[in-house]
Amino acid sequence: MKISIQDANTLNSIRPLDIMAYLRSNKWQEVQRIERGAFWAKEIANVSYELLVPFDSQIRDYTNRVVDILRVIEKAEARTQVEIYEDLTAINADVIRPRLLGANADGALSLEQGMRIHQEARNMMLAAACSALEKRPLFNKRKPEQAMNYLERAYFGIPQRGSYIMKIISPVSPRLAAGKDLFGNDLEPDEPFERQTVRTLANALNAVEIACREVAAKGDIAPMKIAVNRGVSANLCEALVGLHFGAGEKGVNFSFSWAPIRGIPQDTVSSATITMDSIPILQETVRIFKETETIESSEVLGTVNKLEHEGEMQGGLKTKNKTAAPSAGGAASI
Amino acid sequence: MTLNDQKEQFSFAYARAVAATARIAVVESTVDDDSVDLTFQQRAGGGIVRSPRLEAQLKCTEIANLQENHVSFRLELKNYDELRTTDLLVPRVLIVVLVPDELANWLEHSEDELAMRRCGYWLSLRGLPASDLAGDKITVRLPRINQFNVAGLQGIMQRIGNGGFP
Repeated sequence: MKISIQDANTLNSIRPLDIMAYLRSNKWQEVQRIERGAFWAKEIANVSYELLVPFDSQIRDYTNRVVDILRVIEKAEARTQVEIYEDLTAINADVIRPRLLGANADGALSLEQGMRIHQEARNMMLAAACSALEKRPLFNKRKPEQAMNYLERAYFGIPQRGSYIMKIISPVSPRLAAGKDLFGNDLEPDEPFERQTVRTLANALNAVEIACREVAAKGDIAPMKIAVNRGVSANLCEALVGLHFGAGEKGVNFSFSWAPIRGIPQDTVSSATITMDSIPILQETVRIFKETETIESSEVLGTVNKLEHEGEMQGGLKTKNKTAAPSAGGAASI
Repeated sequence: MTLNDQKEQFSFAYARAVAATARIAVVESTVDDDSVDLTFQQRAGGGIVRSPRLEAQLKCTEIANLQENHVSFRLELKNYDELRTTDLLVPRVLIVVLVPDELANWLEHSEDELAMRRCGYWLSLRGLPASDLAGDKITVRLPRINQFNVAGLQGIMQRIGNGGFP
C-alpha cells in the first residue's frame, strides 16, 4: 500500500540533521550548497535523483520541502514513506522490536499485561547493559551505575500492530572519523556504551537460541554456561520468561534496526526468536544460575557467631572458607 | 463538481501545459496549509543554482479587472501574508488565471488547435509590507507584462537559477 505522509506536524518532526545523516548513510552525496539549503544527489540504475534539503526547520516552507524529500526518496529507494519516516526519526538510535507472539491479533493487552511486559523489557535492557560491562551469569540487585544510567537514555517508542510489537529506542552517537594516529593509521574510537548494550543483547539472544537447542539435546546446562560469554545471564533469561508469560505465552520474536549513523555492527545478528519450548529451559537456567553463582559486592547483615584464624595471619581475620571484616553492628562484607 | 472546482482544475491544467512546453517538471502540493498549489522544478538549468525551483499559488477568476498596465485581483489576506514572506528556501509567486464569463467559452478544441481562454499573470509578492487595511482581502496588481507563458516561466526559472528571485 502506498501511503504518503501529509500531516504537517508529523512532517515537521523530521529534523534537517537527521535527513542529512540518513542521506549520508544511504550513499547520497551533497552536490551543491545554496544560501538556506543544499542539493543532494544519487544515481540508481542510471537514473539521477536530486533533493533539496533545508538547513533550518524554522523556514516557512519546511513542511513542503520535507514532502518533496520523502517523495523523491520513496521513488529512488523504492520504499514506503512510512518506512522512510521510521528511519528518519530513529536515525540516531538503535531500535529493538520485541514481538509478543501470543498477543491478540488486534494488538490489545490488558493493563496488567502491559505493565508486566514493559517492566520485563526494562529488565532485559538492564541485563544487557550489565553484560556489556562484564559477562556474568548473575547480576545482583545493586547494578552498575553506568547500566542504570543507560535506562534513563533508552526509551519506549509507540508500539506497532502485528500481535503486539514493542519498540525500544536506544539513542547512539554518530560514528565520526577520529583522525589518524602518529603512524598515519585511522583511529578507531571505542564503540559507545549504548551500542555495546544493544549489540550485547542481540548476541545474547542469539546465544540463548543456540544454547537452548544444545541444552535440550544434551540434557546439560553447560551450553548455557558457555553462552554467558556472549551476554546470557539469569537476569536476561528471567526477563525473557517474563515477556513470554506477559502476553499470550507463545514466545517472543526480536528484530533489531541499527542506527544508520553508526552502521550495522559486524558479527551481530539482527533477529532472534525465543520459542515457547525454550521457556522451561530458561526457567531452569535462572534457577541453576541463582543457586550456584557467587554474588559479588554484596553486603550481608547478621550476627557473627564465630571467626577463626587459619594458620598464622596478621592484620585481619580469616574464616575457614572466606575472608571477612566485621563492622559495627555485627555486619560483615563478604 | 462546483464552479470553483472547475476553475481550480482549469488553472492547474493551464499551468501544467505551460510548464510541459517549457520542459519544467510540475509537482502538485499535497499539504494544504501553505498557500502553495504547484511546485515547478527545472533540472540542470545552466545557472549557478543546480536545479531552480519555484512554488506557486493559483487563482482562477472570471471577474477580470483589466487595467491598461495591470490586472487587479482581490487576494485573501492570509494568502497575501504567506506569499510575501521572505523566510523561504524556494521562492513563491501568485498566478491568476483569467477565464471568460461563460463556461462554454473556456476551451475551444479542433483538429488544428486547443485554445484555453484567457490567460494567466504572475506576481512575486516577496518582501511586500504587511497590510494595514481593514478586512480580510487586499487588492494586488499583476503587471500585464507578466504573462504566465513559456517564455515567462523560463525567465523566472533563469533568474532563480542565477541566484535571484522571480
